[in-house]
Amino acid sequence: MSKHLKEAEIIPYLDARLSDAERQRLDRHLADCSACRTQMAEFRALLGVLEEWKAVEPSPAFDAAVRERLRAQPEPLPRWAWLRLRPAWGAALVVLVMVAVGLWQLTSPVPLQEQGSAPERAQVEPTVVPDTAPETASAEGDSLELLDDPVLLENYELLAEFDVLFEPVQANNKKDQL
Amino acid sequence: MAKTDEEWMLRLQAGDDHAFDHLLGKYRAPVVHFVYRLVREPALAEELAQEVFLRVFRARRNYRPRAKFTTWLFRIATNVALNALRDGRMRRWGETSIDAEDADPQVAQLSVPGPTAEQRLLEAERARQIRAAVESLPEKQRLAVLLHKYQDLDYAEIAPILECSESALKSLLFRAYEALRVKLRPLAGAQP
Repeated sequence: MSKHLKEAEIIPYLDARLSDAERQRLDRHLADCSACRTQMAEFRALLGVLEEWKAVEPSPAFDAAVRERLRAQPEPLPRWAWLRLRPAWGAALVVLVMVAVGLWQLTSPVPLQEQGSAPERAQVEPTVVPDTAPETASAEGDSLELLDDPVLLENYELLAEFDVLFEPVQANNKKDQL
Repeated sequence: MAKTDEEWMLRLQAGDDHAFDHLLGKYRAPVVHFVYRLVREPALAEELAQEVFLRVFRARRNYRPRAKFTTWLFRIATNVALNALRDGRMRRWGETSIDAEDADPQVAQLSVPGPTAEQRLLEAERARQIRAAVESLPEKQRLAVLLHKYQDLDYAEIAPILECSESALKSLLFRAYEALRVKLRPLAGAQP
């Protein structure tokens, strides 16, 4: 007697999905093997029993309900639409950041680059003026900015501190505090 | 000339809404049947089946006929039904009152009416046992049986839905039917 039926071929046998050669082989085995024949008969009976479980039918209003839901629920945007919207979102974000930074600078009590008053900083960080400082200063644009500033030139107390020529930004801040 | 489901879907993709009517008409009942056997509540099954067709319509632009339309459709239906089960949009499997379902007028109407009240009660009891046996299967086996036995899909259609090979599906089906054969043996020997 040939080998018993494999599990992967029993259901295809009942479904008539086997090739002719496979089916004939199984038929020959079933003719000789009462155990497999009984098992196959029980599977066949089972498939008949399962037919007894009936399902509900769609209501007559099914199609209308689908149409209504299609109308009522807006169709989500396709993916490419989000890509199209991204530049606008980016521009809006840039504007938002600029406005936020501007507001922060306007409302902040301490200037952005200043963490203490000029006298305090002078005590903590005494300025060392190198011998070549004037040449260095004249070589840079910062000193020219100072000379071009008439308000600063008129402030003799400020000009008395030589180092302001090398730190125009700090000098401006000190001027503001004076 | 008869068109395949995939061709109808491509027509829908091209903007032909009549193609959707065709697919809706053809698969309305199979999808409701399938979802109902998973969730067991007629009203919820109808709502979820509608959701399946909504998804089909809305996915039309991205549809690619790589697999059979039925595979795609029942995969959507499976996801919708299982999500509903897991989201708690219905009573859990084990908590569902079978008596309540038996009392549902649609189910009662669809149960083949016998000549007597006693015959109808007997049929309802057999249906309850079958339903309970199928529901006792592990989820993948249950889905395999529903798609194979009740939706009559072939192996090549079912395997991608369950994300397994055809040979694995055949073994899965065997194990599911073997479990059912043992559980339902009393019914098989006593046809009504």
